[in-house]
Amino acid sequence: MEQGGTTDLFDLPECCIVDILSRICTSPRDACRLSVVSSFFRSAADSDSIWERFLPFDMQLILSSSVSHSLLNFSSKKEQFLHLCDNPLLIDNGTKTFTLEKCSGKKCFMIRAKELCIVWGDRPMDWNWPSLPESRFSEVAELVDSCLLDFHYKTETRLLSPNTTYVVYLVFKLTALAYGLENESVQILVKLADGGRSEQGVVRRVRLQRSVERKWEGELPEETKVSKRRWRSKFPFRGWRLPLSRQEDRVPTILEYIRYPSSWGTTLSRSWGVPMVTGSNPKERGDGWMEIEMGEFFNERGEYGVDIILMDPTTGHGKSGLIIQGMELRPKVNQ
Amino acid sequence: MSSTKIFLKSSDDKTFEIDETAARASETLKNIIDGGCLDGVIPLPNVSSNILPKVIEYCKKHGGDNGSSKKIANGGVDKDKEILPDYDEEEDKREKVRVDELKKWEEEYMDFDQQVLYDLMLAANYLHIKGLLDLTVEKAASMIRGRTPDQIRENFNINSDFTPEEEEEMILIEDEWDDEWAFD
Repeated sequence: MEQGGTTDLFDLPECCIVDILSRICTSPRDACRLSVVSSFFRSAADSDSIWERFLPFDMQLILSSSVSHSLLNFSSKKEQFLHLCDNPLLIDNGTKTFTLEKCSGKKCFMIRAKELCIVWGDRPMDWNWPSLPESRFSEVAELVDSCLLDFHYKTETRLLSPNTTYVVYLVFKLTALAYGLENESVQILVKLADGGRSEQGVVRRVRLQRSVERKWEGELPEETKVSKRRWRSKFPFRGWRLPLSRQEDRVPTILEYIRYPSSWGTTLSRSWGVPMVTGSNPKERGDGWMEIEMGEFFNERGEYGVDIILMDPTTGHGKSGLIIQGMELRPKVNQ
Repeated sequence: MSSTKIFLKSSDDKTFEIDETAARASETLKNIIDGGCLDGVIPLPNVSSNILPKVIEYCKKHGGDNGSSKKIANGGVDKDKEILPDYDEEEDKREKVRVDELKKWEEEYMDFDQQVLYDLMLAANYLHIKGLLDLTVEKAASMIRGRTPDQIRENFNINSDFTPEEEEEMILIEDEWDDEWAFD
């Protein structure tokens, strides 16, 4: 410091600047906003000491389960972070992908369709397992023609970011000849298996396919409503119940489905005793796939599993043309 | 020992007096004192005469009492105290009052302009006064926190020094993150 001269922010020692910025940059977004102020701010806000705090603490564990080893050579922590936001990393023998959520730096995972317990998924007349170049995984599940759309999955939460609400999405697309999916008959339940400590959640009733005559957001024409009601009355499955799992806090097994075919007609809402709401419509993801919100759960410390069930109780008619890439778990934004 | 006086000489050759206990709040001064290299006056070529009294004021308040700023950081509660068998509630109350008073003092103490802030931060860094460094760094952070890049440039009198091409790229980055936010 020159006597009589003025000291600037730029004259402060680097350790002070990093200390100041690390108190401000609580998220990657903060750091990126600061980097546009000036070249001085940019070099400070881009430093490894700022960015390494945004990478998950168990980063090494995740990288070690990666299939590829291309992630070791990065010139900076920021580069590594941004790479992991945009380039899903195949982990656990190709059963999952790992990415980071750009704004918060929290962990996201996608689980491949092959891991889901799809009822009749092993019957080639019902489900096919092709490989698509636009998929992250080597195989996707294609609904060829089945009167049954039903799967469940139990995921662990150990690897998820703590104290975070996660939203589960079904990542899918429809073929040009898809049919049987345009009714709001698919029911989805996402539930933390914590022995009833948290709220039981809701069953979401969704429609995977846009019907020909109207848009997602549009009002239902009166005509359609009537015909839908009439159509439903032909399939009196709704009141049927699943004997075993009705009162028990668990997912019915495939064996139970086979032993008690009446369960095919049950509704998730009845068998779990939770209310049913209309879920949101599918959205374009920007990567050529669609996604639909399946539900959400709060992960505190990663100690509980999460049950995810999807079923269509209107088993009487054929369905076709649904291609499932997998299920994605992403932190809920603006929490 | 507490009456021992130390003399500090600023960069512009002015001499200031400080108690040894107060001087020990600075790691740098403490090392000089303990090293036995005390030769009357300690020259501080990096600290000017308009900043040094401010530093001495801080040291006087905190000298020989290294725990106080830590207690503030812990919200005024000293965790070690709870496990002591002769835990005294009255003592705890007095402690809380003391911490509140210290907080108020620090608020008044930190009321100065940016120029003083930088100089004080430099001095705290040079003299290794952790509590003071912490206060100044936090004040600087609070001047940036939650502000847009334009507001920060204005606050700190910074001109964006990017080339037109870089500027273009910066606007893109800014937009990208704003979009991401708006999309949420």
